[in-house]
Amino acid sequence: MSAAFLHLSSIGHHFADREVLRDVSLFLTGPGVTALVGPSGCGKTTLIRIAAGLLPPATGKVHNGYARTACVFQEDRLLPWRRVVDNVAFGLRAVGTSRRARTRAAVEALDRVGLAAEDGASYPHQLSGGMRQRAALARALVVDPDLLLLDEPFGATDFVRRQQLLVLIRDLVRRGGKTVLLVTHDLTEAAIIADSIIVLAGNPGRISEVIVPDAVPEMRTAKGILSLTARLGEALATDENLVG
Amino acid sequence: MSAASSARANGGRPGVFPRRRWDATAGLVVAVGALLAGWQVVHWQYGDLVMPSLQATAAALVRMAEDGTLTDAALRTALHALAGFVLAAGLGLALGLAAGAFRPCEVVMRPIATILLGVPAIAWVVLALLWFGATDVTPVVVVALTTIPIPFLAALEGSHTVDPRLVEMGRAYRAGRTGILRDVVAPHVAGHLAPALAAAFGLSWKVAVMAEVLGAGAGIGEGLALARVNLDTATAMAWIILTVTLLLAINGLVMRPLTGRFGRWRAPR
Repeated sequence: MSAAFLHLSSIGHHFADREVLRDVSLFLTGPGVTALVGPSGCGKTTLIRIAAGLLPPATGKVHNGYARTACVFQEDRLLPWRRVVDNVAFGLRAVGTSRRARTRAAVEALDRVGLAAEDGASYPHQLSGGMRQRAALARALVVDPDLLLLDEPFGATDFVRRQQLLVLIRDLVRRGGKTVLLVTHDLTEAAIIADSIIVLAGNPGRISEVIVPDAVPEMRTAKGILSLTARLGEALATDENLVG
Repeated sequence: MSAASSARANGGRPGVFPRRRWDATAGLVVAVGALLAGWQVVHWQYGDLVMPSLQATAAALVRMAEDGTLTDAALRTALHALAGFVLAAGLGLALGLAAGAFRPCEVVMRPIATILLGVPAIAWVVLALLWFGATDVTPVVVVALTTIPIPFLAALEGSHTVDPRLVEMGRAYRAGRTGILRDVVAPHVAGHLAPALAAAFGLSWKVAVMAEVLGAGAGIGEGLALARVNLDTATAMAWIILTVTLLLAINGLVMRPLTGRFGRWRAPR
């Protein structure tokens, strides 16, 4: 597992005439959380879709050496016609897991994100937005991915839940040895959870700064998180000025 | 949907249009009562030829049931309607999906569907009578040709409105082509198709009766035509009641549960 890595080299992309990414290179290897921060519209989501292999980049290369990659999208993207538990089990069907084992794994994953078995028996429209997002995270966890791509997955999640989920993700990294790429616009979130932080900015988006804090997330104090957040804020503000 | 769940869905407050079970039942009783009362009033006012009494109609129904004409005709009409409907649903679905998948198919077939939709059912009866004569084939063909645009357009619409983000999710979780077709595309299209099929079936039933009235084979329509020739309004009304009752029964017992099954996952509106 230690040999696995995700390598994006000189990625560029455009939609129609609008260039969204230019010459972005990225090398990820686990275990660890890499946060990708930046203002809206700087190509964060595009970059994560490219990393997931869902969008072929216009220029550059993607090498994903991980055996299992899972994605959590900005929207929950649950199938409205399947019960939540079947949605969570979705990724296991492709690998040919038996129905019974799928359901068992899905219920376990739901439990990990704080959803009860009754929630699993519901249809997605019966759950709140935050619960649906957690179900989407459970759907990713159930395939036991070694690379987890998260695109602002906690947008609709309340404060307490969000802390619990951040703890869960740190646990995946520390004990599970996972590699996580987390797109977020919440700088505090990045400062709490990330081993390294990539600042993407500009239009088209480019990597403007890579910050690797001295302390690992588990050792960061409240003061450390605060100053790291402030530093990220400065980095983004400087970039805005450059672009403006 | 039950009254309780509808109340829960909007936070316990009555909706703009409160839908409670007893409302619907009471409404039905009042509506049928009003129709029957109106019927009887017209009878008293204008006599047997214009509108038979309720008793006379009931007597005609009983007589038809006893001598077996009722069951024979109902089965015959059901056969015509069902065969035509199955043909239309199968072909319409297949062509609609093909048109949804291949743009050139759509460009050619959509105008054809629109034109078919514009041809009056009565014109199909005339043509089918010329082609097949007064056989069982005629009403089946008429039903199929009249209803086929409905499932076709529903399947086409359904395949166009599949959420690309869900398809991308399927790809992200390695569902493959068949997996995406089975878990993402098919349930979405089915959600569009179910109400369209229910509507198409109602139409099939009425068109089958109409084709039979105009001489295309035996069935309820033939009975209606005979009643007209004999100036037997009571029998005509009996046939009409039979037609409506059967249509409502099939709708309630088959079509409604079927569409309900496909709509269970929808948020209550």
